[in-house]
Amino acid sequence: MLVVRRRAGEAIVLSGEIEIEVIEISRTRVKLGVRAPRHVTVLRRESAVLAQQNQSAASLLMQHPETVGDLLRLLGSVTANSSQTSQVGADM
Amino acid sequence: MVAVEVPAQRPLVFLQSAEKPEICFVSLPVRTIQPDYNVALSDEDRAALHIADDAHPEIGADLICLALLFPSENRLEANLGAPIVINLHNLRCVQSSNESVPCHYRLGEEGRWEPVC
Repeated sequence: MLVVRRRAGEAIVLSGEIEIEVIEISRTRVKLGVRAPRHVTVLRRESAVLAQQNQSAASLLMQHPETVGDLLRLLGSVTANSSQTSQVGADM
Repeated sequence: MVAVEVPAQRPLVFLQSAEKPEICFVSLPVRTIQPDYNVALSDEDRAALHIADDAHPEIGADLICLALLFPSENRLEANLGAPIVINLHNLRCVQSSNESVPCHYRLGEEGRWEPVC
């Protein structure tokens, strides 16, 4: 990993088109500004990991339809007699 | 999204996309995984959920808090650091990001959730 020391107001440039500037340094955090072309996706690392998890989660039932049965067996759920289904619409 | 709970499949909650039928998340209420779980909402989360800064919403009474399940290395994992939070009073919803919960939980073969840090 390349390690570069920078002060507030200084920047680094990637591939001649992406600029990352140190805007502010506090005791526990650094505020960065990123200038990049529109086609470049800029994400916090944890957001990128989360996006990957969400994609896996979204396709869980399609790719592993046996999951529900396996899960219920593992969790020891008791099958209810009722077949009534409840729904809540959420604004996401 | 529509949250669907099938009595025969409790405690699972399915989050079904209303626009794309192929997208359906399988989730669990967070406290079925970690009974003492408390959600930490950021300012952005509160704004998105229309929760006042000085309000102290409770899971169950005011909020539904769901952990999405995703496959990882032939096991199921749940990231309690990024729960789906639904405000029961207005049905607004966000995926919260809680950095104070660094662990994922993995479902063990005996049906117990084990932290994976």
